[in-house]
Amino acid sequence: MSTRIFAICARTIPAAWRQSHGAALTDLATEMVESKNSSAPREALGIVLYGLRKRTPKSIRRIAELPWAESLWLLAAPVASIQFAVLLLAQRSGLLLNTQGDYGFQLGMWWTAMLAASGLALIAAVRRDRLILGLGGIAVLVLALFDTYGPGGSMLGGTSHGVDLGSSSGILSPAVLFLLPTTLLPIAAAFVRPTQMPSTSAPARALGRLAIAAPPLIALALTYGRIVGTGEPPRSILWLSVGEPGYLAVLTVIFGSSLLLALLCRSVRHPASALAAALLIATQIPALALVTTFLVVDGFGPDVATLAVTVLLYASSVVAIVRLRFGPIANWSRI
Amino acid sequence: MPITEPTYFVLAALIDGPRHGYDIAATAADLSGSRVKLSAGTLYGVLDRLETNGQIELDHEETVNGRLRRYYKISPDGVAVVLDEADRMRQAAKVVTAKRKSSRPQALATPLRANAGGAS
Repeated sequence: MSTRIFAICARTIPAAWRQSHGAALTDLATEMVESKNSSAPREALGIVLYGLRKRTPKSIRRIAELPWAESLWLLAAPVASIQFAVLLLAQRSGLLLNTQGDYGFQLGMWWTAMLAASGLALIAAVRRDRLILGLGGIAVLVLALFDTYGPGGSMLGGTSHGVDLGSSSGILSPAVLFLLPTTLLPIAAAFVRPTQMPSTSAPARALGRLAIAAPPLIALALTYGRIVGTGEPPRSILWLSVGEPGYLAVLTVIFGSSLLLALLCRSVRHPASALAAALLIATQIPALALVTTFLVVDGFGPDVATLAVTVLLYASSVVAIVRLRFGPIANWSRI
Repeated sequence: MPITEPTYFVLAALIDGPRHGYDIAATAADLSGSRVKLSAGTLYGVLDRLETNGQIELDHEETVNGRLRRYYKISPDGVAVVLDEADRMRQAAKVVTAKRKSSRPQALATPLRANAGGAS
């Protein structure tokens, strides 16, 4: 029993070290307990503290010792994770979703596009892909800063579609204070090429996995909850936040999310993971077409910024899929 | 540079030959009069640091009763460090012992004088 508990405690130790030394450590702890020279709780605590010590001081020391270009890359994934998590939470809780007036669904689309771009930047940061990180980061930045339709009053202090830099409150709004640093750091990382790319830390990999798995899980939970509770499809699902998506769109998301989740759970190395990701992103394309139609046909005029950002985002997605499957980030096992 | 007490006794335990983790912890406890009681996590932290500094090295591994035992041996650097520390502590102890010896008659005399004064 103790051995099993010690093995669980040893999970706090970085994987590479655990694989080579973990068995000797847990066997030693078991021997200490069996010889009555120590107690199981003391040994378990000792192993956990040892694991935490091996993680934390090393990463802090590494950041201080590394050249600045490598430090940027070391920080890119955690920073992108934080940004994605906050945007996801804000978007799903409705903080960023202004549904007032006739533009409600388009406003939702704007922020969900930002969420998608942030997710893309996060994957690229974890995968150490400069091109995708740059594209994703710039898309987030443009989406965050570009004020297209005037103030709409999101609760984060920005406007409906971004941050209004023209107003004094906009410059110091929580949205700007949060989004600028969390976007500029990954973009800066994308523009530097360190002599030696630092390996992704274990917490960053864990956050990366969570970031990939969380949106489908949340979308599934919300979708099922809404359908069971009200008998209607949700107004905004993941990237498909266009008006009333209808049951077909709901089914597409459920199908795509389930497939992606199943593949992620089974084996992230499976080539079909890229196909599943492609399927998910492809479900956004009708949404893009619909939004573009509204923008052009319904009297807003062709909005160049919106189209440019959207094209940038989708181009990034396509490049990401290709690179995930065939390119330098083809090894999914590192996520 | 002074080393910590657990590190000192771990190195001391290894002076007379390679030992495995449990043996190191038990010997360190014996040598220190049970003052240094190392848990497996603490011991591995010390061993890690010593190995990184080149003061000990892995000698061999063996499996006993299905358990992996990893034997460590002290390096010449490690011997130098523990001998330096022993020397440093000996010097430090000598200072206190010498002061204690030189101040003993006066220290003993003071309470006697105080007692004598109180009695008169």
